Amino acid sequence: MSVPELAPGRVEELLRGAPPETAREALVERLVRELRDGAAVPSPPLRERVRTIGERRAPRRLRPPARALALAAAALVAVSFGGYALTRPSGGDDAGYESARGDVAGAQRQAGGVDAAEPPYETEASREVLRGERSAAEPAVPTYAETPETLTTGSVPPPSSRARDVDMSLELRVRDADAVAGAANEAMRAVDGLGGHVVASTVDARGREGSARLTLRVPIGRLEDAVLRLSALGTITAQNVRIEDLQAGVDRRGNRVEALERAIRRDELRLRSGTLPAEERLEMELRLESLRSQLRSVRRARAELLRRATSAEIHVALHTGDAAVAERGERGLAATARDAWEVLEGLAGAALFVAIVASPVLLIGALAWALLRARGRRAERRLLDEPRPAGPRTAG
Amino acid sequence: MNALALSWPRRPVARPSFEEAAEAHLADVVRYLAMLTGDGSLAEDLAADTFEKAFRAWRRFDPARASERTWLCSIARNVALDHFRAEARRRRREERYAADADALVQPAIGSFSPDVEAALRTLTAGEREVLALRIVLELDAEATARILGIGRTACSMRLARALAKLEERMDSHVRA
Repeated sequence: MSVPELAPGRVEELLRGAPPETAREALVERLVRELRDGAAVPSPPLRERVRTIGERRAPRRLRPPARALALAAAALVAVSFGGYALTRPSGGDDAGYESARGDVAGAQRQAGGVDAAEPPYETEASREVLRGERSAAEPAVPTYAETPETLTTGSVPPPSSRARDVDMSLELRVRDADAVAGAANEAMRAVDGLGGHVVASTVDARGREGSARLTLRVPIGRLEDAVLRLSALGTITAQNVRIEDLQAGVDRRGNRVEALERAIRRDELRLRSGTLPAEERLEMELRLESLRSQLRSVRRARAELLRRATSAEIHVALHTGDAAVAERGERGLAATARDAWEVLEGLAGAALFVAIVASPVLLIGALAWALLRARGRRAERRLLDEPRPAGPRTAG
Repeated sequence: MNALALSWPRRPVARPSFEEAAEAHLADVVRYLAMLTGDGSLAEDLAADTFEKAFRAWRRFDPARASERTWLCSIARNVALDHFRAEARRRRREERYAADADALVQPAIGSFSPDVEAALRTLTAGEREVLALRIVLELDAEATARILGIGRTACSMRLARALAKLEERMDSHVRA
């Protein structure tokens, strides 16, 4: 006959010494007492054996504890990430002559059509240029850009014989409205001094806020000097370079001019020979007139391309921005704060990357561990629950 | 006293030497193993193995996480389970079950009365184990649950079932 269990809570109370309230509880209490009083006692040989174990020298630790290893590994990872984040090249804009020179070098690289802020303007002229077609008859037009293959970071390339249209835009932040007007005037004076001219200008200053927009043209050979002087007027907040290669168009029109001139000379000679019938003579004169008209048109178009290639257009936008900042005085603090933020960004990004990459692996590992643990526990229960006959102890 | 264990960021807890812990808890380990295995003499052998292992692992023992007694009982349990597994492999290898148990002399579990001893022998090792830890060694439910690798509630229920079964077996033995 199976005995119903006592409530687990009541058993706990009895074990803690609560007085029994029923005969059955009294029986349980007697059982508990007997189990405690009659439990096995270690024999003297066992005591001696255990005492001998304790007298041995403690085994030497061959490796540091796991926790110390884990802490050292975590510190190493943190230092590595911090070092990587600090040594990353930082973005941001800096005013000043030296940084402007670097910006200009970047613009010059972009003039090669390699890594412009926006993709270079693609025309049939550009594609023909890339195939290397040139006209030997055309005079070399001094341009600012070098072919992409010879550019190196930060270097100023020598003038190229290729015709290119360079269009730059600069956005500068200045201190206040007074500075906007002063910077605009300085920009126009600078361009005049470099042999360029002002195409358009707008200055708007109200209270502490202000803005100005200038369109300037400078000879292509003075572009670097112009950008250096303009960059020094404020803090660059944006810049853009657009390059259009014109050489193929120049070459094509040059070839067309030659062909037209040859055709005109041929027709003029035939007219002067006096051997043509009247009807043919009339047709030839009409055709000559048409050829001359085409020649004038092509020469004008070619001249326009050459004119564009001899100068660069610079669009300058001056503004006061959100806060009046003493750019040079507070750069140190702002730069430090920016660097610190970039370090945190780098660490957060790395941690996120590790989490995303490692999480499926960790999840699978955790599942596998849980399954193995559950399996181990089931095996344990089987071992503990199976009937076990008494007998001599097995050796190993 | 040995050097403090590495327990940052927890507050370091002083711990006794191995000799002191062994002297203080040898009897507990023997009682536990005797109840678990149902064999007093086997319990002594396994207790010696337990303290050998404990001595080798003594540096890793963290007193902030568990008491010495709980830690030693965990090691003793693993030693006993290893013994059971070896026994099972031996029986499978030799393709014979242990002979008729009645024909063998049953080693004593402890100094219990005959009906208690007989009733204990009819329980499984798992049932005797929980009785040993909660009643004989008077460990609390939490420490016992940790050793057994189960929850507190499951531990309490297991104890109640083991006690009920022990009562029932004693009842049948007395009537017989």
